[in-house]
Amino acid sequence: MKRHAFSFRSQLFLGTLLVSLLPLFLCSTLMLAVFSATAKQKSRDEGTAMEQTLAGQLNSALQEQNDALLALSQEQDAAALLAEGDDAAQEAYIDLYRAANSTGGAADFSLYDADGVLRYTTREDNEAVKLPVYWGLLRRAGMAQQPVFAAQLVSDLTSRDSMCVKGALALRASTGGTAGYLVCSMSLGQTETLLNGQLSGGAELYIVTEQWRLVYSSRLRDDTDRIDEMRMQLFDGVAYTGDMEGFIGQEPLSGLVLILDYPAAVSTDALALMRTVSLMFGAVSLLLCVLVSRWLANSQFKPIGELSDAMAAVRRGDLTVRIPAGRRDEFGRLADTFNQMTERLEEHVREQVQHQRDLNDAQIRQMQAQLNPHFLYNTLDTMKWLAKIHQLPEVASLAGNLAAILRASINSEQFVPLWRELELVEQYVGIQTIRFSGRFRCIISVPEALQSCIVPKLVLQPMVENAILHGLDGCADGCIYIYGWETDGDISLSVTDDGCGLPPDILARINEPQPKLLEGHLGLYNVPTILKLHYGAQYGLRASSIAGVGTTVTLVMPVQREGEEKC
Amino acid sequence: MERRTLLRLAALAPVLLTGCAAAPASSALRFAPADSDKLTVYTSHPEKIRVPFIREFEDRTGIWVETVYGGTQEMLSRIESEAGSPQADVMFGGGVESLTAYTEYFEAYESTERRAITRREFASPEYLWTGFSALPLVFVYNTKLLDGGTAPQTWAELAEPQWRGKIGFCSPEVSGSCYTAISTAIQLYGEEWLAGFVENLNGTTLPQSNDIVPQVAAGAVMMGVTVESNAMLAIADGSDIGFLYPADGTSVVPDGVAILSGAKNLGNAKKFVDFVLGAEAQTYLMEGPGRRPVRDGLPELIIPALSDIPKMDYDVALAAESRVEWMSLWQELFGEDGAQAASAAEDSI
Repeated sequence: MKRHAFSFRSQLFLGTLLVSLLPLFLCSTLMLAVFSATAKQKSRDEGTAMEQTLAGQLNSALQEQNDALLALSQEQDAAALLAEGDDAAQEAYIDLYRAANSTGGAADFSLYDADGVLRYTTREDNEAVKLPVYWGLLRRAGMAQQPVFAAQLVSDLTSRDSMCVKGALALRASTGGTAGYLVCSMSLGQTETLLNGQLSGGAELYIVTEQWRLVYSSRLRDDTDRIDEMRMQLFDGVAYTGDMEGFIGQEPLSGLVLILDYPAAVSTDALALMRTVSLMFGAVSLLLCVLVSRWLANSQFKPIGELSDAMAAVRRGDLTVRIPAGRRDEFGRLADTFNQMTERLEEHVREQVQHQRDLNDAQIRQMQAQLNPHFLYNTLDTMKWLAKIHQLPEVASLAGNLAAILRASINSEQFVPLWRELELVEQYVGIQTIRFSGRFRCIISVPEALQSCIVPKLVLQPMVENAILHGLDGCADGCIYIYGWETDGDISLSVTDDGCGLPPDILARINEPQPKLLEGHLGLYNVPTILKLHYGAQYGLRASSIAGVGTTVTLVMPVQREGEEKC
Repeated sequence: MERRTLLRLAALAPVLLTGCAAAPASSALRFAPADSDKLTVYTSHPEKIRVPFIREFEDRTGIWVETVYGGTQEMLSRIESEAGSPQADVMFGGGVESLTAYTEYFEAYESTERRAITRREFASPEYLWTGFSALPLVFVYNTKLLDGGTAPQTWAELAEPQWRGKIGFCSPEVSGSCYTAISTAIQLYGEEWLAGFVENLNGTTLPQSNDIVPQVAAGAVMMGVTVESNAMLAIADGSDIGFLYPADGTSVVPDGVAILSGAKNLGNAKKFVDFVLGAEAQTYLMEGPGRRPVRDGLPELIIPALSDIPKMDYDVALAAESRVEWMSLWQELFGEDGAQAASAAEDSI
């Protein structure tokens, strides 16, 4: 019985749990995943777009500076720019300011001579008074024909005045050598002004060199460690595993790399909150499952339990048990059916008891009744002898015959020899002869060989009684013939009267294969029933009658003699 | 329509299951250097030196340099422990006496710039290391207590009784420069000098060689022995100190650069050595951090010029060989207490 290891209640609970929690779980997981995936995709798109905007912004600013450097170098002769004297200085300053203004103040412009000594600058302070021409930016500018841009490799990342990106263009002297250097420079502050307007949503921007040395952080912090973590992994050629949502692009003019740390659209806190909410919903639905399954189990289990208890009571024999009705569902119908069943059973048992009681009454009555015939018989015998003593032969005959009939009828034997049956008939006829004052005669003609045949007791007498009472009713001088003969092992006994004859409907009833009870004709029902019960359906009564001529009723039964086995 | 939604969901499935999409930061790998563009440098140089040189090198060559910074002894011990599979390519910094003790882990390389470095003590004979910056030893003194005339003028004077208790010094077991100092004097005057000098220390040494200049400036001691660049920096910072070069000749022991044997990026390591020994880097060394270059033929920006400093003929190999012997002599003279005072303090040449 492993299949029923779980009770109905727990099956119900598990079922409700399954249908409520599983969809909830799947749904919330899916929603959460879809939500965070789309949010991730969105933040990825936004981050990429923002990074491209920033790189574009930086690129266009550097391009402007590039163009300003070129314009300045083309408009003015190097010697004129670097000339000494107040007028020349004013001229140079005008040119430098014009260039600076052409970039919208994004950069300052400076002029260095061939030894890297600062001549003029639009910057108010903090510009190096001497730059090595064999090192860093000026060295590269000296080797190039075009402006070169590079990050300031060593500077304080927390000061707005620190240099961030510089561009330089070598000015060629008419003799072919380097006459000086035009330098444009963006401080961290200027870079911040240029780029931070594009930053939003808590994003942070880092600018690093091609070797990922940090030169700018949008919060003006020295976040070198943070970048170095990425740099180390790049150096080792492994994928980045840190916490930065980096969007990375390169500015082509300077080769600088922009790293945008764009915060995830859905913070881990928000995800955790959503997860918590989902879990709470799960808990609520778990609670609901428990309650609903308990309620359902109770509402289903209660009628089943009642039915089960009621059946147990019936098994113990209590048929009065009833299930309270009132439900309209299947259990209500089941209860009704059960109640009907027990009612019927109860009724049946009651009938049986009544029947048994009736039977017992009949038996008692029969036993009581058995007392009377003996008393009657003895009385009749006394009456017979008293009549003989007092010379009253008819009374003696009546009493003697009646006593004989009474004795035969109360005899417990069911079968008697034919001669005894005939004797009884003669005694009966004797009584009736006295009663009807000789209005009829009775002639019995049965072969001697058949006299010893065994026949059921009192089968002939009712036929004779019918013939006297009904067949010869109204006849003044009737005759009754009783014949007996044997054909093919069967004995036939016929009782014929020459009376008025039987009505056709009664005749038809007598000749039906199954005897029917006829009002006032008990013998016509009992006799064939006895014959058929004893010998089989082919035996019984046959009657023929002609109105005004008479009626013949024939009994047919198999020949049986004393000592032969009875059927 | 529904079908498309389903397809989209199916496409999302792996994302949902793994819980994350490919982070764009991983695309940073396209910026990763090629294996041929890598170099790992162990250095004991202070930030002022290591950062500009390494960044300029990166800027010029496009090579990515991974820098590991630590004390000289720490870096050399690391090299020793990693001898089977070296994690670095170059050791940048460290006094050459220290480097000499670890030459078995170095790869010989005669730089193309080698011809411009002529002084004997500026490169190992087998080119296992090459000097980077020259560090003459000087006598530093408190200008309020002494002047250029009254301060001791020679190593010999340091062993004379009138300077007893007035000299700031550090245990040679802790400080490389202090070892160089006693080694210089012993090479000049023999082991007898050490007895007089230790006597003058009065049983007291400073915990680190970096403490010598501040202690002199604070007047706790009248004078001390240190490397020239320390004294110059302190003067530039406005300390009340002056320095002089011992008249009987000072040692000019450089710090060096060496390529590790078994270096994975040997080519880049050679480029780096060539770079730091090159005329531009050596010039920058003078103009930037204010150190003396090891190259000849550069304009002498630091005054006095190296050629004008009285120099003795310092034998680095002898100093390295005799280290154990002279150190035990020091312990014997100074006593066990002095030996115990040695801690793992950083060697600041």
